Amino acid sequence: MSLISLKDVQFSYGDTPILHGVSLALEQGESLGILGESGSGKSTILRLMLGLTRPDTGVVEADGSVLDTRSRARMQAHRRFVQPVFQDPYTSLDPRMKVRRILTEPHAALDLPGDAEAEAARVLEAGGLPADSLDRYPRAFSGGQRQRIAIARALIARPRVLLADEPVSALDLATKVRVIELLTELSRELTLVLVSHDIAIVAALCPRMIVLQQGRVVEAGKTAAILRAPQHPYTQRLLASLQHMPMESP
Amino acid sequence: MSLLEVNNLRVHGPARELVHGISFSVEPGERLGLVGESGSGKSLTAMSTVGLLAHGLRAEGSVLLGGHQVIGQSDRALVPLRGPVAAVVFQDPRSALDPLMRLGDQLAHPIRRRAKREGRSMSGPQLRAEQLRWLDRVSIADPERILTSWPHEVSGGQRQRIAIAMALACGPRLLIADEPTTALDVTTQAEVLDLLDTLARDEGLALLFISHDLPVVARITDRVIVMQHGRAVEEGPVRQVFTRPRDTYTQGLVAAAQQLEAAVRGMQ
Repeated sequence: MSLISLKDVQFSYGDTPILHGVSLALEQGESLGILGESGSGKSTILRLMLGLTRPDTGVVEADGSVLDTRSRARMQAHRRFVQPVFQDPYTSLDPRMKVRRILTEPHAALDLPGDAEAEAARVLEAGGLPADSLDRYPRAFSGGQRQRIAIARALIARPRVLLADEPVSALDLATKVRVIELLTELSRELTLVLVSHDIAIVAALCPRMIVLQQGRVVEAGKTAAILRAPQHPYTQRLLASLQHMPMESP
Repeated sequence: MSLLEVNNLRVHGPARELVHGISFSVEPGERLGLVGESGSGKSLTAMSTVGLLAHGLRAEGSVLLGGHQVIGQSDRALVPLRGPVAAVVFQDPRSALDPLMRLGDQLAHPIRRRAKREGRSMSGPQLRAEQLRWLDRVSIADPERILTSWPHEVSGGQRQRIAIAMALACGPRLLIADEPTTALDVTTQAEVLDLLDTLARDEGLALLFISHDLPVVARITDRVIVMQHGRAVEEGPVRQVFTRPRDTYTQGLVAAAQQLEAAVRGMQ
């Protein structure tokens, strides 16, 4: 059974069609990369998976049943099932809250079991942050550390699925690589859905991927197979557009 | 004589010094990359060379652009240098274009200024021909429609092409490009890099290319300066620096870039 699936989903903003019959399935332990450029509809897919919006037609299923976004109880359960991490670590944390409150608030809001303080300490460590981070404000942290805090916050609910929307795009190169390592580590315990325009990030983190172009899935399958032999002209063009590091001359 | 000669350039912020004495030169037709992470001072350095620092920032040292001193000059004194000697393409083509002016009118400005500078008169039909010629140079499809369009009506890639056309229409000998492809999609980025490459070659332009993206810099420049915390930590031919870095900081950057590259290559 899939963790989350979209079945023939159509979605429009007003008269502007965004998704044209998108189907995809996220399997336990098989992190999925959604690769697409701006306007491809990738963020809309994340919003649908989070239950922040409803498809015009088609269904979103999560944890074995149709996701009814109108049911409070269902959405409460869904928020424990899937948690998001957003692109911009500067706007995704409340600047007025100390890290302690940022990490304990979801515990109460989602009515989670266990001790909130102990859980905060657990996710802080899982995010690779020092224990004394709790009594500081977000402004005291660099972009990479803030993204670690955002990831730690997502882990409070012990979600089965982590939805990450361009989680490292705003980070500097060295920081980016370290946050990718953290996400790799975490993807052993939970299943990752990674939305990105960056093939390298998808390749580093996701054994499966789909390629999205203007609201349509044009290619789907094992990441290694797609990168080795892209079938769709658009995927071929994406790969051909990659810039490369120079190789050591022999 | 170098086209651009920077000597012991320092940039002071309100509270502290941000660039701590950097020196380099760009020869006619040469392509130099300034690489570094955010806060390394690469953009401040580049903007200092054309006197475009934000308010509250002050440059010190010497910048000779086309043989003229830039540091300490009034804006009025810099006007003859901006355009004919150096033109700039910025990261965000949205903020580089006036949202309240049709694209054709924006492109007409540098074309008219150059004609005036060179003592040529420019009639309506001549101006239109020049506008269309520049749009063609930057590979804009459907140029007639673009001339009467507003900036918000065209894509990010098209906006950046038009910003490049406006910069080149000034007839500069040096093009300063500050992260010109960072805001663009991968496929568009590749197209704009190809375009810059071709244009620079055809026009014999020198390039000062600022980017945090090592593969992009490797694609477009010949020589590179790596900056960290307002200092140049390494300088050399781009291939040499990116394959055999000597400085520890550069080694870290190169290793990170290669790690990402390996993720893709390892699967191919």
